[in-house]
Amino acid sequence: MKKSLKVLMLLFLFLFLLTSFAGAKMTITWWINPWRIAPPGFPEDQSPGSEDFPKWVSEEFMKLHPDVEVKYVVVGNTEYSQKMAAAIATRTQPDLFKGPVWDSRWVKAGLLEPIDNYLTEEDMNDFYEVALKNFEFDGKHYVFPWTFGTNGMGTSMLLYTPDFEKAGVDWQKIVNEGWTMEEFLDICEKLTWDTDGDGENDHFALSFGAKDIHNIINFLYAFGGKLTNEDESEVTLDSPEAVEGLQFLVDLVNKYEVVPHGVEGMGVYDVIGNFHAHRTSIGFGGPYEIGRITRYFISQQWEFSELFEPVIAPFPHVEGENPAAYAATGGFIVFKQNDKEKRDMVMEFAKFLTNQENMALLESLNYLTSRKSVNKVLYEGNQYMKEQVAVFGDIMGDYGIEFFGSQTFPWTEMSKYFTASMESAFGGTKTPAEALKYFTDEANTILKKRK
Amino acid sequence: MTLLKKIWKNKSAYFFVLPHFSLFMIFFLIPVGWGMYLSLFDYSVFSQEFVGFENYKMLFQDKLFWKALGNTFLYTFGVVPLWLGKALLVTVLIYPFRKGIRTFFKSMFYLPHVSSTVIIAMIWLWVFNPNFGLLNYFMKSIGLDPVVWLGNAATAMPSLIIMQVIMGGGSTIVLLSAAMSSIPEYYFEAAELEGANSWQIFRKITLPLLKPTILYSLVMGTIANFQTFSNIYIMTQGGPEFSTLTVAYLVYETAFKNYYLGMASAMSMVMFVILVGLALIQFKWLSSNVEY
Repeated sequence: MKKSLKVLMLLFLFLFLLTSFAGAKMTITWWINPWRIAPPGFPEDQSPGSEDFPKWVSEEFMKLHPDVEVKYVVVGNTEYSQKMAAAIATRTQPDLFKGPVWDSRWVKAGLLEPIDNYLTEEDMNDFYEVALKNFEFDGKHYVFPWTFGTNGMGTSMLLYTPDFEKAGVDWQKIVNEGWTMEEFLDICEKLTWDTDGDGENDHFALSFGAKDIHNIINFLYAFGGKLTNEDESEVTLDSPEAVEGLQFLVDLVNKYEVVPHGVEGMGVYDVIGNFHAHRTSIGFGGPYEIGRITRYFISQQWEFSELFEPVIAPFPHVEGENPAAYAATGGFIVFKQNDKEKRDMVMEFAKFLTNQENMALLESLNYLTSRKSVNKVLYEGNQYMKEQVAVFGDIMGDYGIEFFGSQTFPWTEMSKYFTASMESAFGGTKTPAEALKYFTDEANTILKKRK
Repeated sequence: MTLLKKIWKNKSAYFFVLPHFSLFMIFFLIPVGWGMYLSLFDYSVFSQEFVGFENYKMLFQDKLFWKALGNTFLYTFGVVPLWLGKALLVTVLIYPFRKGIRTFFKSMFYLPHVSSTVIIAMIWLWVFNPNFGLLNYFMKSIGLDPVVWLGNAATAMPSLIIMQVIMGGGSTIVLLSAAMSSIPEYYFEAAELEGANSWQIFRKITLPLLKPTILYSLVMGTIANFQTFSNIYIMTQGGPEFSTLTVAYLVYETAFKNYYLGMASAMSMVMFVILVGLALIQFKWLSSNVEY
């Protein structure tokens, strides 16, 4: 009797384990930084949160694949790098991720899956070439492209047209034909005035922040400066052209006084805040930054007197040369998978995230997508946004370049020296030439160490 | 009696210590030991190679590390004396009041201690804003030129120190108040009868009898301020021109931005050794038996 009870219990245990395993779902974990994308059916009078899109898209995928459990984690932009470093060090990285952090050393360390076998011919033709090229190593692709362009910092400018009209400046001409540095300076002077009549200017054409690298470095490139030489073996940002570009910016502050003082103590959010509060007439960014205005207005963040619609324009250019524009793309990366079945499913999820329907949801954030076919149908019924996106797309397509070197270039390590050099140039402790020489020397030391 | 026998004899005591010691070991001793071990490796998330003391050698040749170390000392020795002085002054000033009034002031000064550092830093960012900040508004209103407080290498660190002195010290005020209340009242009465003035009473009675609490606050304050990170991270990111770069911020940058965990561990070890050294000096300098 006792023996048969034991057998019965063992049988029960065996069956229990069998059913447990049979019912076990495959789990996919993915990380995403905060993207406030509105999922289909999201109320128009509300501002979406960072959880709305990942939650919705995970649930939609689980509906299609009931045997899969998708877990999402929204990781803030500032803590992304340390969380990812800790995850990789402890081998607990997610299966899939989209974040602001990307390091080409992950490919070299064999941490990522190439995605080529999962891209169709149709995909290859539909994605912008630059979007695929940006994440190509040794002939293999590692990113499912998603966004085309960033928030537009360093790519394009935003013009608050009522100020331009008040100053008698034809902003349409700037949008259509661009502006030379001389024209830009002349217009900046017209856009600087004393609002409260105390004899001091309190409204400025634009503002800069020493920590706002993208917009500053655009001018250095526009004057002909380049971060490195052709094969990236040497940092060359102390060239006379780059120095001229930085001198022009410093003069905008100190000589022409069309930019408020204090650049050395400001960052990008100070610059954005000045534009939103109409303390400046020229802001920076692309369609995403237009979206930020609406989002902040709805959620009553910062000082807004009105909901306004700026227009996108190119950065100014040197006579006879093209303007510079920062072009970068983003997408989803798949970490190494040992199980083929799971690898296929993670790739399936990445494809689901970047299919035409789901990619089109980026419209709610005013981001351009990496698919040509999707961009064609964005913003139907919104003439204003359609025009802005078209201008932004043209700027990206015609003048877009990578400012910070290839994916293997150690810009991350150098960037603090660039910021320090900008702080010293705008703070007056170094001349533009000395500041850029300081940065170049430090950057070349890092480059040598890396080799 | 062998060691094991001694432990067995006091097993109950060890049993009660065990939960705390386990946590202390897991969350402090093991990480510190692991940090020491990592500092001997070229350890990134991508590769691990034993390099001996190479990280330390590179560290001491790194200008930025020396700059960060200098800034850290400047910040610590700028904040701690002022903050301790403020705490002592407030404690002495509120001591003669009724208990209710004392509690009110203690609560007020303690409030920043329980507020989010991030929120406090954000408010001070606005105070220091070069164009539209509160401080420059007052500067302009009294006819002075505005200052780029956090953008100028000469003013950024003093600005951070002043902010910390104003916002800090709450817990020390509570500690010093408690210590002061435990000083027998007849000491003060006797001194007054002998004709001692307030300054003499403070110097000859209050201060010596508060010495153990001051020592504790000094050591803890030095350790806390030497590791300052969040203010720097939110307000200056080590700038301008690295004038507010501290060792703790450099450790963060090295480990989590550049992924050089071995080098970051070596920096942490240097910081650890310096802090132990500072604590020993402070104990040696201030420790004396106080009985009353």
